[in-house]
Amino acid sequence: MIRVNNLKKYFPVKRTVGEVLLRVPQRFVKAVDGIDFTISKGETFGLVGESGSGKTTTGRLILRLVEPTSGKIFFEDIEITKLSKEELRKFRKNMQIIFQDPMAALNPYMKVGEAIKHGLEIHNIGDINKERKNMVMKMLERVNLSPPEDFYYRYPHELSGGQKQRIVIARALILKPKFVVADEAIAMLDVSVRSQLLKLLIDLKNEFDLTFLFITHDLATTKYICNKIGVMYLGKIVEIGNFKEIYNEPLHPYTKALISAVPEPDPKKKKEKLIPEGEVPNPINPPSGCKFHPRCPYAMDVCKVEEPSLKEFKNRKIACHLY
Amino acid sequence: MIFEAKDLKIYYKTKKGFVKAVDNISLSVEKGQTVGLVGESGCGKSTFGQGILRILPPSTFYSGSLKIENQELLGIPESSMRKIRGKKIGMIFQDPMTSLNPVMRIEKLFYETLRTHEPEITEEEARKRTAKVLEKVGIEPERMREYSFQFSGGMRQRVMIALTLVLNPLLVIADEPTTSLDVIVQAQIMNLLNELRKEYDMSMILITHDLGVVAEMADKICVMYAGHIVEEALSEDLYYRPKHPYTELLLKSIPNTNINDLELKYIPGSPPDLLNPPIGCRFAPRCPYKKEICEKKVPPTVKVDKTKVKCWLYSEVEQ
Repeated sequence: MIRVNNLKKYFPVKRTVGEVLLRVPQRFVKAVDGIDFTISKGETFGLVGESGSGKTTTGRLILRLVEPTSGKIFFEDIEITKLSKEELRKFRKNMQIIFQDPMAALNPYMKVGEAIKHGLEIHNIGDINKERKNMVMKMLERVNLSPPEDFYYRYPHELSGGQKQRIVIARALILKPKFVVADEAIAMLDVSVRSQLLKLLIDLKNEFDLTFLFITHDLATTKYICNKIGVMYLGKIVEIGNFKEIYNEPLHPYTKALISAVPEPDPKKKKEKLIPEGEVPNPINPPSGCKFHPRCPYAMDVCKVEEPSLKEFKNRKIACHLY
Repeated sequence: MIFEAKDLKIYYKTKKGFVKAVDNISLSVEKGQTVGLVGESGCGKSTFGQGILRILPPSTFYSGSLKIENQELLGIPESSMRKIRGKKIGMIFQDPMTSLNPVMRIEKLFYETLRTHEPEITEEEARKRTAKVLEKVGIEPERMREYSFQFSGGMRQRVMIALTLVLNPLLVIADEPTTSLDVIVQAQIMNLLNELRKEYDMSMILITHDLGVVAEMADKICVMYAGHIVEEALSEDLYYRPKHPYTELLLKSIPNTNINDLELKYIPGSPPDLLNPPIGCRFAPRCPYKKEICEKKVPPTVKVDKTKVKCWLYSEVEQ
């Protein structure tokens, strides 16, 4: 359903006047640096990694909220990257995004009911205002904001974080999209609210027959929803494949680290943790060779020089010199 | 006992009335002990942490007793409180960006902090001590010439921890110290805190909403719900033998690492409004084991085995 081919996004780094005069060459942040993946219909693809790994940029690229530097994106054989602005606007009905921060995603001066209705107006769904309003009411009820009349006329600041996120979900789904990007959709919420919303997303996915791109840094929640998973590090996919297989037997040292870093509530099961030193390096000036080698406990000499490519191994693809 | 709160009440004054954010809480911390305080947003856990340091709005109402090393803190003047903050009770905040002054070099931040409590200290001496403590948290001492915005989130939190440790406080309150960080950096910071607390024989109150984080560090865990501590237990007891229905449901609702356990559980409903909390047990409206009495009277805190629990399910046993 979604096919991404060698997708790249380089953001130019601002140069000072001095640097321009001295002709210091333009530098780039390689936010997404040549990634490939496919998402089949009805599948949920989890994209995980730390901040700065490029996962959010990937999500935005697929919806063309940012223009790719190069590469192709296909949506059911339609090349999204080639659509004109007007075509794209119409096409957006099929693909929606749920943002991380519901406070920033909702217009504070717009009643939440109107915000949900807005999408219907843009895409000319429903004939009269009354019909649209009915659709909004139904949707509000579906995301468990009932009675809907109570919520329709409220402003975002009158709602709790969980309720706001439900509004964002309702706004995305009222257009009956086929594909939804959930960008850390539940990361900012409390544990118990998080589970409620995750349950809602799973139910809606089955009900609306959705295909999901689920972007997160929290591996513990991915198991409930993802069939497939891609681990990103500094703009590259380092391991990609079936979720269960990767979760049970992570092979890339970075995937291992991510999984072992999940806090464990069982005090007896104090896991042996494999926590890499340091933090994600500066993407303007990434390390040579394998980008993970300065933090990798298994780094060999070859890792410093040669960048590993994605290879088939044990039913998945992995970019590491160990395999 | 290094710290003790007894029947502590902290109410916010609002136009609509008092918000009972902390209502009759008793909690004690022994020397070298780490106490975890867990609960959802709005349960009053941060109010409790900030109330200990008395850094809440001046109109806030306090009652009960708060003691550090047998010195009563409630009712003492602001000037005496200033000597307690940092020196006796240190605090690590959630967001290190807003709690570190962005226009001061790191060394200046440390100098100012030290000078508040040791007015005679020279800049030279302050720098020496700063270098020492920065090294302890894994930051090169040369970086003290930089500003906080030149550090990454994880590094900033390390600076924050160093700034707390430089005065060697008796008690450290860590309010969601890793919530704004990535998983891997979060694990790094937790490891660091764990090592430091052993080295400094530090007593700590760790406030968080993540049961996974506390379980790895705390000796004792207090579960807060809507201004009450509903359960106080040793980490192991809490996990294996939760007594309060809220604890039980909260534990079930956190995603575990077992891949075959795919049933997603959650607590229906949401916490009550603390302006007008339920008359009886505050969890009663969401509780699956609710009885008649639960909605009428606040349950007493009773001891069951080693656990203290505030629930009518256990009070009857005693009667």
